[in-house]
Amino acid sequence: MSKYQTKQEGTLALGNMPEITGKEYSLYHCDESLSAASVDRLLGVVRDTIDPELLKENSSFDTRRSVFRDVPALRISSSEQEGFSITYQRWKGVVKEIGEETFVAQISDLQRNVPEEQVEFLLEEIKEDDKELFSIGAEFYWCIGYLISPSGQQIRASLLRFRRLPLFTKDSIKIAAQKSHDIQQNITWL
Amino acid sequence: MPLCSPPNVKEVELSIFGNSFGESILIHLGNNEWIIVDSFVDYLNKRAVALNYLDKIKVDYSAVKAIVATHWHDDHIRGLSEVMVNCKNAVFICSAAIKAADFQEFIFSDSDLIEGRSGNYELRKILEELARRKGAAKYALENRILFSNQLYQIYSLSPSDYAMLLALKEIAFLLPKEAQPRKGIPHIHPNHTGIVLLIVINGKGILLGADLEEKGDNRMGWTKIINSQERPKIRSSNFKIPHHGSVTAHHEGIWISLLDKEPLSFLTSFILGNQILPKKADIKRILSYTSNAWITTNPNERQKSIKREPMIEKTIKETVKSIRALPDNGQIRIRYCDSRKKWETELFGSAMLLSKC
Amino acid sequence: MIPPIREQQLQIVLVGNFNPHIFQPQWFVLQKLLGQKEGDSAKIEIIHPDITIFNLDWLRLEVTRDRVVAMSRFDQYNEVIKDLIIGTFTILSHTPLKMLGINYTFISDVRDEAVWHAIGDKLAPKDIWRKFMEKPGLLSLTLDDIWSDKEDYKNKVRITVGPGKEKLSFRLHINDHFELKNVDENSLNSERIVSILKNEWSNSQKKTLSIKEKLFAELP
Repeated sequence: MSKYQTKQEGTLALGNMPEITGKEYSLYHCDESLSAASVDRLLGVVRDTIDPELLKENSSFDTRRSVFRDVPALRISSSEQEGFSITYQRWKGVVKEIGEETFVAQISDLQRNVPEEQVEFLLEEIKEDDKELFSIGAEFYWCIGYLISPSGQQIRASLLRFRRLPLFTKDSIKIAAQKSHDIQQNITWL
Repeated sequence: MPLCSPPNVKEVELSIFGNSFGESILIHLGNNEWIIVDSFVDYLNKRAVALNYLDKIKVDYSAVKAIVATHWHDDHIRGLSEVMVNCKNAVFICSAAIKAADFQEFIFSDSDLIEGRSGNYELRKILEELARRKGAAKYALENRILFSNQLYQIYSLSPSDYAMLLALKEIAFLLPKEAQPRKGIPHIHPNHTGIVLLIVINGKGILLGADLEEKGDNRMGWTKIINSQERPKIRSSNFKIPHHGSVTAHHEGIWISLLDKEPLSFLTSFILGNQILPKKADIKRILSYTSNAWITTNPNERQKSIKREPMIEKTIKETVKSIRALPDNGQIRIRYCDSRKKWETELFGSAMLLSKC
Repeated sequence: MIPPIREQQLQIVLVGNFNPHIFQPQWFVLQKLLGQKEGDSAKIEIIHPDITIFNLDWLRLEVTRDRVVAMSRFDQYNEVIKDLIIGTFTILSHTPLKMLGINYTFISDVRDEAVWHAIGDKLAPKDIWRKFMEKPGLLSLTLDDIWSDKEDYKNKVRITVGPGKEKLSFRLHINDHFELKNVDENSLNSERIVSILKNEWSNSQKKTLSIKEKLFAELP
């Protein structure tokens, strides 16, 4: 039985609506028309239509346009970001050398005009999702600051995150070839 | 002489800049004609050190006749596009590999997203600037005369045909493929496509060794240059030691066949993680060939760390194994004094005698 | 005096024409703009042809037919969000874009009611208003700077200040707004907007920091 309430039990109250994660969503993905409605159907969930006014808070969505008429249900998650961070130091880095347990990077301070530094990080600092990005020449951001919880508690934090750049596409490769050709036309090679 | 005094009209000058990661060379050929070879960026004002120096000695950028990118490694090319944009009369000189369509396609495919003055970014900006002003470029190959007049001749002694062939094969692997991630230009090892320059001014030779390495293959590297029948048979009195004095760029034939005895020799140091060049053994070797050797920064000096707030320092200590700042720039300036008929060396910033390292 | 910041938020806003239901977490994962685990843990509010909203730990993304808003309260991720937008619209290079906003909101606590009123009095002196209002109080004050003209676009800063939602709080909103010139509805201006974001990002950060520091230094 689905963990969600079924049609027989009636509609769900707004506050009790379960959240759906990206993974659950993708499990139900079968074609281009992806929507909460189709997921709801698959899960056998029926919901109330939501008053668009409820979306106004903390949202840039323009509720003058009534777009919810066609939406059978709207699931409001309680997943608003909690807390915030204040960063005191930011760097941008490039991986220069990879060892067995560490890697060496050259970092530049994004806030002050100070000399560049070379840093040796432990490989375990790299988070799981970033491992596919890790190689010599890979760029990353490194930030140090505080995470502040909703109750006001301050926790020191260090974030190392590799840059994600879009993959090459057929189009981008074609554009590059064309650009290179155009540039060549205007340079005189002696 | 104070740092900010420019050379006299007839005075030849060679200035080498380094900071343990970057390298840049300026040469005054005489008659207010300059060339700039490679580049790195001053952390204080984020400008190319070459431009900072020209500003200091009040030389107009229009006096720069040529800009040379000996190769495209980060430590030799950062800021070179800025030099190109500012030096509007300069011809761009690069390895013939850069002229290859494949390589250019690679440069243009991702360099606009990888910013921060990587090799890709710099090359792209240089080529865009050249195209924008419909400028001129020359590619360097072995035994090519790049410039020649009554006062001076500039030759490229490398890369060899074979080195070029190898490079083009490697570049083919760099070409972007659909759904591949974007990255900077990886190093091609050994550094066989680099440009070695021989500059002859009023009969005096200056040999700039770039980062050319030696693998004992007579089709490329220093062996090819030394054995070449076509190269100009001029010995140099000034020598920029290749690849930060590393043994991988050493060939005894350089000292025997290409240089005067006890040449004025200079090099930049290189520090990356545990890799420090020149090593103590390299220093000993170089000093066995010449006592006239200088270096832009001391590779053995422990770098001071940058002061930060205690919270940041504490977090850094907990996160990393080690951290060190790159040293301040050093400059070795050598000028030929016509009246005294000798080269005079001055040191600025972190530069020092190699024997003192 | 610079009061302690209680909350801050970055919003990157794009105005153009969008197809919201493309912007779902798994699309970003497929394009390698988000990691697999991150995409899997995304919390979806809605995915619909007219609106998409999802949340990560550090990002809230809202997409409607004419607007994309990427927002975060975690400033360690500011550069990451910038990269995400640049990456997205490099891939979706055929998206018509017209305007870009790099916006910050800062919310500070105020020491006490007297200071709170003093801030309001400093920003909007009450003398004129007291001539015909009994007890005027500042609700919101917005100022626009002049347009700054560049070759391809124009730029201006809009600042809004006022009391925050919580009692004894002060809100500062800085909108660094960029608008393309010569927008041809039939041409695809995605590359131009992406280029502005790349080239102006660093300046915009400095501008915002400078405005915040200078304004807070003036406040009682």
